[in-house]
Amino acid sequence: MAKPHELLITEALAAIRSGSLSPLELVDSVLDRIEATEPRIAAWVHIDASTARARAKRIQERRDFSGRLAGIPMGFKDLYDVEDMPTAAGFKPWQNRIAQTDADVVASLRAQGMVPLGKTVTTQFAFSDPPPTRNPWSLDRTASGSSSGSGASVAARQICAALGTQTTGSNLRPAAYNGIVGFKPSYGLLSRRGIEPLAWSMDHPGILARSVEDAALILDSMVARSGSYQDAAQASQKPRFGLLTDWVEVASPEIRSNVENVAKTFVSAGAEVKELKIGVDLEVIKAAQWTLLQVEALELHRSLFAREKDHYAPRMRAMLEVAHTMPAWAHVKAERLRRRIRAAVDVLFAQVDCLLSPVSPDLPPLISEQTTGDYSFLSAWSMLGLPAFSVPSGLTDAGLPLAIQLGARRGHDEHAIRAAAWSETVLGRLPPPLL
Amino acid sequence: MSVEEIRKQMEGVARELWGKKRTNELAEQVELTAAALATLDAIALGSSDDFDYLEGR
Repeated sequence: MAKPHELLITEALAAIRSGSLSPLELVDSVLDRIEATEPRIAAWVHIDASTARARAKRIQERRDFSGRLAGIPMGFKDLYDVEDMPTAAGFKPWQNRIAQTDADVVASLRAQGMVPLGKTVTTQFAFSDPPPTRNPWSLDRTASGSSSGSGASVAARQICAALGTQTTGSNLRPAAYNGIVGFKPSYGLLSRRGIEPLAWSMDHPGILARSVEDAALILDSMVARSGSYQDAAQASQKPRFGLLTDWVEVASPEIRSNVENVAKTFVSAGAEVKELKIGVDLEVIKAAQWTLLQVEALELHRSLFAREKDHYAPRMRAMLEVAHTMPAWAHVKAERLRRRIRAAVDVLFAQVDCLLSPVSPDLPPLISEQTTGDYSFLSAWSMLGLPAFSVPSGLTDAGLPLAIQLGARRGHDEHAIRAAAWSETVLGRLPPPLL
Repeated sequence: MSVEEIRKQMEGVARELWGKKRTNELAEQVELTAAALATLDAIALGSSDDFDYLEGR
């Protein structure tokens, strides 16, 4: 029989509501798992066990299981304000900066009975300086970034689900490298109040979970609306996929082979898969996104950087130094390109429900390489604000996770959820990593 | 000003800001940004009216 910390959120909720599992047992199981595995993973920067246990006990005693996430513990990337916990963003001078209130999305989850357990490792200010977190599938490899701790902790069964963020590839890439589900809803669907920003026009709150339905349920809990994203995750309608061949062609052989096999599997299962090309050079997309990130991050950090530059991590510091020299024409051109790229992608969405590609061109790099991984296939959907999923699609011969990316038209989050849920059903879920 | 000239200026300013100490990270960021600028510079968008801040993202 599965231990409580191994359960999906939907399974844990059913057990709690039936009386076979108490929220306190679930929190204690999660805490035991963290104690047993954290020295190897290094996914957390702050855990408030006593407050989490007290809240779980209170939910149990009141038998208040009406909330969508009643009694479910979650972790939060250390960019999110969680009341009475520090929000450090990986920045030493902020180590003791205690949040007075929850970020809007944390408050919404709390209102649905979620139990905040603690804060997970982020790269400093969500940029690319390597974090201490290790990949549960292979401890000598990166758990990616910048939502490093959220990805690794969910994969290691230390927590039921966690929130991350994505400005370039920081939510979906950790999901892919750690063999779990990652979901970045449409830009603007979720409030960003109370979340430390990096680049306003591309910052997205994101979800890391172990099933598509769990991710949809978390989105339902954060968004006030009459419909249900969880219902979309249960639909059986076969999606129309567009396979982005111009991206697949530049992936490493192992990744390329996996995505091509996934496309064949989808066709065998009755889906339509059409080969498509964006028609905009990948280097152009990356250049535009990189330029936008730099100028927005500089404006955001200018004042703090002037006072505290010695506390900035080397790569973040260097990025801001270089951003001071960015010519104005580049920013204008990047914004023009953003519109051109959106127009090119809209043409594709007239033909299909979602676009299928790899998440990353490569497998998780070794920690010794000092990188959180390649973001080439992730910057477009972040720049355009599209809803996008990372869904596990198998294991390599060496036992490393593989994943596909599914992007849908902005504002059509149900399409992304339906496609991801259908894909998950066809491809199956991964076993847990052997820790 | 050519992209190569911008790159030289970028390196000079960045070095000065860093306190004349060149680090691997600085070199890496200069490379990334210079490559991005060269890519943006090389693509011709023409003068069509596709830049409207009011349309939103």
